[in-house]
This record gives sequence, C-alpha cells and structure tokens, in this order.
Amino acid sequence: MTATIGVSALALLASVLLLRVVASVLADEAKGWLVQLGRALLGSAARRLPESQRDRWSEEWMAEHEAKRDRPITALVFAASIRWHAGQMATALGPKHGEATARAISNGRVVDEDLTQVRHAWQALEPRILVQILELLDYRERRILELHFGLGGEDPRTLDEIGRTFAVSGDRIAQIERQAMMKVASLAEAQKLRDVA
Amino acid sequence: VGSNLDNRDVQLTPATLSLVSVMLSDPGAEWHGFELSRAAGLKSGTTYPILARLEGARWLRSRWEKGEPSTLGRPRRRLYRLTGEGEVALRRRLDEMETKLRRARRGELAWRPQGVGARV
Repeated sequence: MTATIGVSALALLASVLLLRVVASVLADEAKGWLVQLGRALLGSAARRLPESQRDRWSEEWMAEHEAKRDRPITALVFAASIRWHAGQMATALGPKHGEATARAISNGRVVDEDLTQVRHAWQALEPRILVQILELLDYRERRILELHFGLGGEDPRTLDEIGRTFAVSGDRIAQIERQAMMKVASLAEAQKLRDVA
Repeated sequence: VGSNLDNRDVQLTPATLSLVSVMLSDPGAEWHGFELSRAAGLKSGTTYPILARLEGARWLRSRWEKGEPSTLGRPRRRLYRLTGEGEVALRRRLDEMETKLRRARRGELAWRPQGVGARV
C-alpha cells in the first residue's frame, strides 16, 4: 500500500516536472515567435515609407523593439502600433517628387498635394536640364508647357487659349499639363539621382 | 527628413501639444521616441509621425546615440531634442493660443457668426 502511494507520488512529481519543462520550452518558443512577428510588422511599416527614409526609421524602430526583448508583449504592441500608423508616417515624411509622381501615376489620379510637390520640383529645375527634359516629352505635352509658361520666349497663354489651339477644352489641357508636369518631375528626379551617382 | 515645413505649418494638435509639452519641460534634454511616447501618453505609432513632422519643421533635431551596439548591449537609439528655433517658435505659438483663449473666455473676440448660426 505504502509502496503504491510512493510510486503514485513519484509519477505525479515527474508529470509536474515534465509539464513545467514543456511549458517553459513553449514559452520560450512563443517569445521567439512574438519577436519575429514584431520584426515583420516593423519591416512592413518601413516598406510603406519613401525609399530614402526606410533605413533610418527601420533602424530606429528595430532598436526600440530590441530594447523590449525581455517584454515580448510590449514589444509586439509597439510594433503593431507602428504598423497601424504607417500611413500617417508616410504622409508625415512627405512624398519625394519621383515617388509622388509614381504613386499618383499608379493610382491613376493626381491629388493636389502631389501636384504641389511636382510643381515645386519642376520650378526648381535648372533651365538647361528643363530643356533636355522637355525634349523627352511628346509634342503635345511639350507644346502645352511651353505655351502655358512661355518657355520658348513666347508670351504665356491661358489654358483656354491653348485649348482653342488644340481644339479641346481648357480642362482637357489642364489634365494633359498635369501629366506632363508629373513626367517632368519624375525625369528630374531620375536626373538628380544620376547626378548623385 | 526632407520636408520643408514652415513653422506656421506645424499643426499643434492635442497629440503634438502633449509631446512638445514633455520636451519643453526640459528643453536641453534628449529623448528617444518610445520614452517620449510614454511620457506624453501617446501611442508609439502616433508619436513617430509627429516627430517626423517636427523634425521637418526644424523644431527638433535628432541624432544616433553614441557608442557601438556591442558596448551598449543593444542597438543604438535615435535621440531627439528641441532646437532653439523650435523652442522659440513653440513658446510663441503657445503664447498666442493662451492669449486667444483668455480673450475668448472674457468674450472679447470680435468674431461673430454671420450665417446660419448668427443670433437674430
């Protein structure tokens, strides 16, 4: 009888020990997974940012995440919050000209914010480079920009006046002009990148 | 940060106010992002866009923590501090807000609704 109780007690003790070992292994495993998940969320948030800003913010966020390694839940909440607000972050950083252009083109629409950026990029161009870039536009786009902004030494004309020349509405001219300006901005960005390289 | 924000373009939203108030409590101090978000009671995801905007407006400056990760025992953090320009601009904006609020409380503001909400 006593021997049976002793064996049962030993079996119970062994089971408890085994369970504790398994739980500990699982907890470590879960911690590892949570850390990986956090990193993946931060990586995904960084990919939403303009390319030129990704490394800096990714390193900053990863460092904060790493500092919470011993608190995996806190680290995961941090990463999830960063990912959740990644769009706000991308807006705060402001689109670079080329990226604004690419985004606007890929969306098939131009928002005013993009257009303002594009206009600034275009106005900042050196006249020599502007001439080279205008050469790359198609005839109609180039002519519209030349006429509207008086680039060829001609007097600037209104969109409606240009519209009459091309037998389309002023709104249509504004639309083509937007596309042309975006093209100029993206080419300017490419030119700038080439210059840096 | 490549933004070219003017000081006037910095919107002092409640979240931004919380964050800059923390920094203004010790203008010379350097903070890392998570520390600021905790002190200001903001979510991390909300804090970093504000930091990016303020840095773009030159109200803040940031730098990487000195020291190698091997010495620090962790990756280096990014540290933020108020710039002199930021501190001056911020105090001016807060003074303006305070003046407006004081006048509004006293009913001194000259604006009156002219349209639908106008008193008849």
